[in-house]
Amino acid sequence: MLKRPLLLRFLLFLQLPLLGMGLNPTVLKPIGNEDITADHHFFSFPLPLHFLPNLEVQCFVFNVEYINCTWNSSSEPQPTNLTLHYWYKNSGHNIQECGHYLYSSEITSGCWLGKEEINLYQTFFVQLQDPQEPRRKTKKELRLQDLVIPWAPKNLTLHNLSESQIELRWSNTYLDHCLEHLVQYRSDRDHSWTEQSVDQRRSFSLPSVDGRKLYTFRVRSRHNPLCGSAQHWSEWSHPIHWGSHTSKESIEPPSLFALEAVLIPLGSMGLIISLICVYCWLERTMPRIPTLKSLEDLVTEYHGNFSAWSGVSKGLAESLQPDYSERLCHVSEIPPKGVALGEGPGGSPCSHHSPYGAPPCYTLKPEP
Amino acid sequence: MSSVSFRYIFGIPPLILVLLPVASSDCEIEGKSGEEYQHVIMVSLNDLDRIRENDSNCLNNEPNFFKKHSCDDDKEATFLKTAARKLKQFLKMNIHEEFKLHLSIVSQGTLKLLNCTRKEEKKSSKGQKKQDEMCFLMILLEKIKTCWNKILSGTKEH
Repeated sequence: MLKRPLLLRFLLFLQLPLLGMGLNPTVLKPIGNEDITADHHFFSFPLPLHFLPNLEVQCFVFNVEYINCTWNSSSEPQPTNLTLHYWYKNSGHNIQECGHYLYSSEITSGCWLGKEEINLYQTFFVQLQDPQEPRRKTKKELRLQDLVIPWAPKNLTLHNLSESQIELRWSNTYLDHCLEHLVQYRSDRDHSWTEQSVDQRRSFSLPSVDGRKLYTFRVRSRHNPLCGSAQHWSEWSHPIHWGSHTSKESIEPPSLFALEAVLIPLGSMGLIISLICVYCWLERTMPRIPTLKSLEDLVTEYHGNFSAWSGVSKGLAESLQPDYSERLCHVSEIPPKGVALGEGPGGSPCSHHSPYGAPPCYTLKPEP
Repeated sequence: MSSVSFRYIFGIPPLILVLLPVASSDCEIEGKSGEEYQHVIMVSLNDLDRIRENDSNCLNNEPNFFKKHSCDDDKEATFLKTAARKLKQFLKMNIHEEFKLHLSIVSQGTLKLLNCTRKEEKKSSKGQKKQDEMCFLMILLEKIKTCWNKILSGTKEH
């Protein structure tokens, strides 16, 4: 007989939670200032007596596919295999240790967490600890939605909207509306990139392009601002090109390159060799300019033979000999009047061989 | 005995069915494109972040309010509504006018965007230390922003 009331009471208790769902606690319980009163964490850490001050753990969520948390163990005076534990604030303090450590020089330097461990919108706690000295630890609180780094955009394509307008389109592997994008483009005549921010749309149009130029485009994305406030951008996408190769940076044909590679060196060598030959010929043919020191040799060695001493060849010496003769003509002053023409006492015999006739010869007669 | 069992089994479940609408949200979160959030509420949230950047002397302890109210799955709208109403209490504080303006934008903007139909009674609050209130306010704003991010991403946490 007593079992039935117990069973009924049990059924009643089962139904009470359902009843509780329909009741808004804000109606039953007035919100007072006790809400602002601080409450300690269930698993609160005492003020750290020994902590890891120089150790900074960094976590990033790559395309919401996995989390990588890394730290620099080498900054510690005595590097040890630190352990990493993590939990979420509202997970009932279900603290778990990293199941996939990353190593650097055989020491733990990071932790990889899979997709099933990711709760973007719950506060994420990560703690590094020295297992040999458990009191040495450091804890960090993270907002994972601000640490998402998406993969680089891909499948970049260009479309002609009109004669002078083109549109760039791309795709992302993560939720489109969560990402903003940054487009960079430049022509082959520009020295720097031009940037343009793009919201959640996955397209960008350039209204005026010059068909004679070669354009390059690239894009990167960021998890901001609707679904998170990330600061880090993704990697740049592979670039895509549009336009023609009519610029000065056009590629030379290989035959012209080979020709230039052969002709120029050969021509230079030939010029140098010909210059050397000319120098040698001149050295042989042109006489040496005699120096004062060798004047002694003219007397002692060459016995006055100037041509032999100077090094002038016999043929050159003969060629320098004059091959014409000219009649000597004695010149004297024209005597004043009264002076008879004739042979003067000191006068030399006049030569009558001049083609212009015999030059007059004048003698000076003494005055009576 | 049979009357007792009859009451327990057939009386209480209908009562639950009547009360169930109370449990459901009276706000709309589906189909939000995010433009209103991005151009209005987020701007004020970022400005509030910027203003309070120099003031971060808060202990790392979570107030009791957030143990009762959190942006869990299927409770996002309820949390935002509660949080937005809570923000209004801080408009009475002795704070900078620019700060109050942004608080008002976040509070009113959230309620308007959610288009909540039910109105609740206003609760009065006693005086507390200003530092505690400011720390609570900062955490509240952070939670509001996170909850909006979650709604707009359209994802459900596991």
